[in-house]
Amino acid sequence: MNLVLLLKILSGLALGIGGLALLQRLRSGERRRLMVALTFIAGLFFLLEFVLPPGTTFFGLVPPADLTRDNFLSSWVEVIGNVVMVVGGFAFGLGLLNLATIHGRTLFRARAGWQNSLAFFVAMIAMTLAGLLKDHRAWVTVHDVLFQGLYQPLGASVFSILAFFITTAAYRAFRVRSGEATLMMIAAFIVMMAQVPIGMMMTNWLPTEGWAASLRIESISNWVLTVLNMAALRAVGFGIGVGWLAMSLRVWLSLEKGSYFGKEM
Amino acid sequence: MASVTPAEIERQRRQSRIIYGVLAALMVLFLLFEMKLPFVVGPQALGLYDAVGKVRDDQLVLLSVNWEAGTVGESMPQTEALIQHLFLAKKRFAIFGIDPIGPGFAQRIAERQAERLGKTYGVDWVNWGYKPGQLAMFLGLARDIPGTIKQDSIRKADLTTLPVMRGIKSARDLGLILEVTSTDSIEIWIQYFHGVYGTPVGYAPTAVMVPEAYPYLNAKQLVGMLAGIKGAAEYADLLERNWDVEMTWEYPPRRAMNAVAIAHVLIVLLIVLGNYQYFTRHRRRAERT
Amino acid sequence: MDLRLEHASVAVLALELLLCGLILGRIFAARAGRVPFIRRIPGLAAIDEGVGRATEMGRPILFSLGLGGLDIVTLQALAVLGHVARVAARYASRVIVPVRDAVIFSVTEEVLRDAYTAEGKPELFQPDDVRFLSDRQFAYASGVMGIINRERTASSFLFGTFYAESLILAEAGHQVGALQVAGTPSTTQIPFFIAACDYTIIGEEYYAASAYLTQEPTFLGSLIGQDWSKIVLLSILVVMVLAATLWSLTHGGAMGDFEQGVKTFWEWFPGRAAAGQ
Repeated sequence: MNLVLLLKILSGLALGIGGLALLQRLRSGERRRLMVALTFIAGLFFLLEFVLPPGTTFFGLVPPADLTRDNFLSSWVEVIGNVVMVVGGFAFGLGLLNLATIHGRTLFRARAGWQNSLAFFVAMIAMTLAGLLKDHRAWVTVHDVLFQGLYQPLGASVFSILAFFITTAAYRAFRVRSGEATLMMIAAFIVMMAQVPIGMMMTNWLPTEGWAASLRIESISNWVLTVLNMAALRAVGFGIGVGWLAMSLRVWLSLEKGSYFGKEM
Repeated sequence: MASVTPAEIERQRRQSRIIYGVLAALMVLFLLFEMKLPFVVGPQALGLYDAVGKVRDDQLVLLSVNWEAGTVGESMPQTEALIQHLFLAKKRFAIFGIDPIGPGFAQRIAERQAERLGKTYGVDWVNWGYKPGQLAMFLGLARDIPGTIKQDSIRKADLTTLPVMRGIKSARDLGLILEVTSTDSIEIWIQYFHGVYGTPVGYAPTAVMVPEAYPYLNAKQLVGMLAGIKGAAEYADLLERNWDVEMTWEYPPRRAMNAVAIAHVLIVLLIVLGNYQYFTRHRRRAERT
Repeated sequence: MDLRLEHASVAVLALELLLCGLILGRIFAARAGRVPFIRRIPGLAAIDEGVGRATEMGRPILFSLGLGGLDIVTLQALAVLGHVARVAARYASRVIVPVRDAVIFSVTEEVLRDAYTAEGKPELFQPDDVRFLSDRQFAYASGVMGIINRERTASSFLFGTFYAESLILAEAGHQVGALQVAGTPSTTQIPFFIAACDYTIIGEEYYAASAYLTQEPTFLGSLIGQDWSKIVLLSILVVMVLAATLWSLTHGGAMGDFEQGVKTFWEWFPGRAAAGQ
């Protein structure tokens, strides 16, 4: 079993290297055509998998695994998902390499801020070792100190900066400059106050039943969030959805000209 | 902002430091001392609470935990509240995540609560661990749970051999999906689990993610929601009212809620102050001209 | 319940064909010479101002691509980056791009190198300016904050998918006095950007960015096609609301049969009797 797996990995690797070598030999025009063709085929696969009804066979030759829910392409979705994951996995090394190069250069040339780069290498090596060896008894404490004692509070601290930043941003931004700004401020006031007990105390004297209950601050806030906010969100959502569709179409059919890579596509 | 002068930026920076100082002092004060402030449980938390109660004995609850260290202040009490309720209400559940760190946090909470409430791993709960969040994985999970997850992440045992997984094969056997998250991972459950199998989905996002959930709540695609720390505090209130067991917390949500409350009040006061300054400065400028 | 939505029903397919037809039709019409006019989008017009400011001050520009993977949102952000980098190359300014996804990292490097080459200044491109920071949300945020503070960036462009780190990035930029333009389809983050940035591009304006910046017929045509698609969707919405109201009035408020009918229609395809089987 393991030998088969090894063979599979090796042949996959050979195939990948061969493919890359072949790509390098192609002229740029040919490479472009190949990219356009591959993009189209990949998009077509997912389109057909979605639109072909369950039970569709490949000219009666390839039956789907489950006639009631699959078409003949469905079983390939998972395989392609795995391929994408593997390609993404290779790219992870690239990121690490970039980090190591930038910080290595700063460190060796003793540029300003080299201490930060040293900290990066120490942290990276320590965290990797602790992660890899965490099942060994001696390393459990190291892992706990690094993860629970350092990483966790550091992450939480960065998130908590939000509380400070939102306070100053709100202080600066919510000014009664125009009609729209005033409306935004009133909405923010209602929603903020309804989130907290102190705000709720303002309208606690109103009954919890009957028409007067809808004047309680939490009811008004709920209305703002579920009616006003939702109407706007849905409208924006329609625009985003259609924008997404249009852009996907342009990418799929390679209709975009020189937008990403500065080259004629 | 770019339109302001360096002197104005320096002035704003000084102001910011004072505001940060006041905010930090107030938060610490309110986190240290417990205060009983009036409290209303909203319909969203109640919806989620009821949904947990409705899960049948032959069903499993999927607790999807997609948060990491950064949002521990909000997501931890939410997860603690849900796990305590699941244990108390005797609902079997599986911890799962598409974030590699989330399931570890949930496991830690579950172990601590299990010891206290006398629950057993593999019987009352299981940890499926982390899986990369590819669409194919979700589609596979919906159709064949043991085939996709294969083994649990703690004992590395075949999933089908664990008593907690008895009779659980596909999304049809899930009574409820609970998503505790700091990212936008909710749509996948709504589209591919609720949309396809009708599985009820509950949502526990961080407060900044809350407004985006309202369309789903309104369309009944979500059974309920814990809105950040406020949601966790509401849930804690519900648990304390309905169960005669003392609840324990690593991060007490009620206390955190009080700190959040005072921060809100400070923001409102600052907005009022900011507008007062804005008006007086405008008036002075108008008088000069 | 059965497996709805795993494959397109007839109604879904028809609607999708209609929308795609509208968009493609307008794209080809624009390519054939019927180029439409689009209104000015202040946030995008400010891009040149931001680059000019960096040149004047002799400080770099920061361009964050957000937390998204290599998807449509990030591709659009990369298109904007391509434009920013070209303008920056023209004025010999530096653009620092911190990224959180290793796949995007290599694409970003390519975009930046091509932009500088296209402007005839390949020597100005510094590979160190594209930096992979971390795939963890707040580690990335603190990394970007560090860059903003150390480099005292003159302008910040925040384009892509953002979550809770949006305000952290925007407020850090504000504190160093940067001119800030943000664009995101992440609706929950729009309020934060509006509070802390000079210009914010919201909703579908985000997808109009490449059309506005390049004035390419393909993009402009696509934009008009998108507008027609939205008109179609809105018309369906209005008709359905009217129909539902009418049904409710004539059936004493009972909506069960109406909802079931809509559902059956929406999920029907040949070979399948009805939905919910």
